[in-house]
Amino acid sequence: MKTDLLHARIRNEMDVAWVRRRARQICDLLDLDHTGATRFATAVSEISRNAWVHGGGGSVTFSLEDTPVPLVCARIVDEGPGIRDYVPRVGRRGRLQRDEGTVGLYGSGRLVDVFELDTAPGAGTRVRLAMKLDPARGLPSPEALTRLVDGLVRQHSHTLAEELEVQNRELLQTLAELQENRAQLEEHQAQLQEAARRKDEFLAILGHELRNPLSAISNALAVYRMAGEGAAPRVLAIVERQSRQLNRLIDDLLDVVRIAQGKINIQLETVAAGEIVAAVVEMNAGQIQAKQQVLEVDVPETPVWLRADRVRLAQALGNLLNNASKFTPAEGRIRLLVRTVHGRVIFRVEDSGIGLEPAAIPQMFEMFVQGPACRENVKAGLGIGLNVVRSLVALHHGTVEACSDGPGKGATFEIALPLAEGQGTGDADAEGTPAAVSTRQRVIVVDDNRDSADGLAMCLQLWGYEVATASDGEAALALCRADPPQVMVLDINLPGMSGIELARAVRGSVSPPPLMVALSGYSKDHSGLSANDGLFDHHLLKPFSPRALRSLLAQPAAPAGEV
Amino acid sequence: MSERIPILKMGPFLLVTIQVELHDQLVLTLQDDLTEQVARHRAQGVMIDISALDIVDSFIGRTLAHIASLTRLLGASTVLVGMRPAVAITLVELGLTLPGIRTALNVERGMELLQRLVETDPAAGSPSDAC
Repeated sequence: MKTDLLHARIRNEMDVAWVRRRARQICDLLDLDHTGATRFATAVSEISRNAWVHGGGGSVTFSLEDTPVPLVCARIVDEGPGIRDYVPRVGRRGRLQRDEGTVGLYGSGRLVDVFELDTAPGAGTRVRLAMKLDPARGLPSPEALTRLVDGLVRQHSHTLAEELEVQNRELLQTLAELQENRAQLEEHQAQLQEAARRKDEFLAILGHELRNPLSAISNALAVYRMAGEGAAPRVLAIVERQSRQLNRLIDDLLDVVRIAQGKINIQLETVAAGEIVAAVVEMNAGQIQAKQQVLEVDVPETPVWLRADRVRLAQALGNLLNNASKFTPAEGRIRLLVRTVHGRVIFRVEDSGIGLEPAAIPQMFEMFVQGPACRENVKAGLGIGLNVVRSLVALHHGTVEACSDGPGKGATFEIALPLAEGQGTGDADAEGTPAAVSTRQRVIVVDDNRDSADGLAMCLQLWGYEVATASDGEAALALCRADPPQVMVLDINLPGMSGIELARAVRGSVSPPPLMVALSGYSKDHSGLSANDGLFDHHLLKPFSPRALRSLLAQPAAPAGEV
Repeated sequence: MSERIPILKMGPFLLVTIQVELHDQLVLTLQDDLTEQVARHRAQGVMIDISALDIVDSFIGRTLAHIASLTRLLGASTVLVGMRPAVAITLVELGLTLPGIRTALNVERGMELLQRLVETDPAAGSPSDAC
């Protein structure tokens, strides 16, 4: 056991004298004999002076070691140039060479019972000096040791100069502490200022972002008031789209708050990467198509399994895809690909958009940070998307990274997550297993809302189906007759021929009839479906999750149920 | 630092009693003060009483030896008195000799030695190793 008694710095000759006296006092307090005490104190004095003169200052630690023969030790350390050509000559008696620099060092070796020196050119010098204490006396009790250390610390200085030195020492220490505190305060202040600046910027952007959809809605309502019923479809579409936008903004905001408070819990399950990609593509298909951008999706043929919260991961990846579309000009290219690399699954979103300033990349994932290009562009969003992405990905024990060759050269974002254990061994639960589309499965999607139809078509294609879309009943019927599908997904409220009429016509003309899935914005009772039981195999209420549709398609045909 | 060790003049001799913990600068100041006083008073002998010193390390020892050499050049002999046995042992083990210094057990014997040295030719007094 080793008990430290006292630690002191050696920075000047006063310190050397002070350390020498302390060495002597410690020996006296430990009842070391007079000669032993003088030897120890002298050796400590020699080595401390060396530390100051040759090593540019150092420190000494006095300690008590409870070895079979108890030892009082002094360890003197400096960070100086070290000693060249040191040859241990400890224990050899007799006269030594008279070189002044080495008399103290070699002489000290003969003064003490234990002398250990560790030095190398340029690496400082560490010397351990120790005297054996009388084992018969035993070591002082812990209480006595505490008193001893207290006494050493409090002992009054004898001379005015020493008193001043002690005060100087304390003052310097206090000054150093003050300086450190001050530096910390300044750093905190800078951080706070930066945070406040970002917050102000954020509030300004938030104002814009909230006002834009709102003004679009009030404009639309004004149009409705003037133009009347005729403008209703367009007005409704605008209001619907803009409220979705508002909703999204508010969801983002709430997410940021929840993440900041650590209130988001993710529920990990085994999911296929392709499924996440499908959901993300569906969510963003509208925007991508509106800008006539080309989206290339590249997912490995064999399913890639990972443990993830499908909603939250889709949200993260969706944010990246949404950004890619937002910052890529019309008709630009976006690639979304999934790869497995070294036990990790990589989701990569590449775009040919405005690119990134490489210097700005490290801060990009911070809250409320937007690139310079964003500030000129009020459509850029709140500057919280990437922060949300990073937080969500971190909850999945993953990482997100960005890179870009520079402004105008496109950007690449990459989410890397651990693969599910036992990847490829088929241990995934049945729910997560993708519907094996072994034989050719043709699906016709009928919806007058092109965005919805295309989004759904993309998903189905990702799941391995062959898909055709139609925007009205007549076109759909023609497609059915030309190449009968195995599945039809149709919106009930079609212009012209309604979904119900279309379903009846299909059942009348295609044999065997396909699996029919009805989509509607209303429950069964309000959509006229209840009167037509048996016409549809399934009924999905809009908005529906692609997952729900997928599990329906994986099931054998069953009586129409409401999902 | 204006701390100094007092130097007493007693007839042709200078008497120094070190009662405080010696630090390096203090012993260097003593060296300067003593040589200056020896020259000013044309002192013939110097007696340094170190009976209060617990520890004499190599630097202090060497500086005391320097003082003896300097005063000798100025025509005065130096006698070191009151060295504690433990200090003497330590100096020997350190491998430090104190050339040019004469030693005596205590102040009284030191005075006698100085007297003797002055009665003979002080400048011819052959210094011997103290240890």
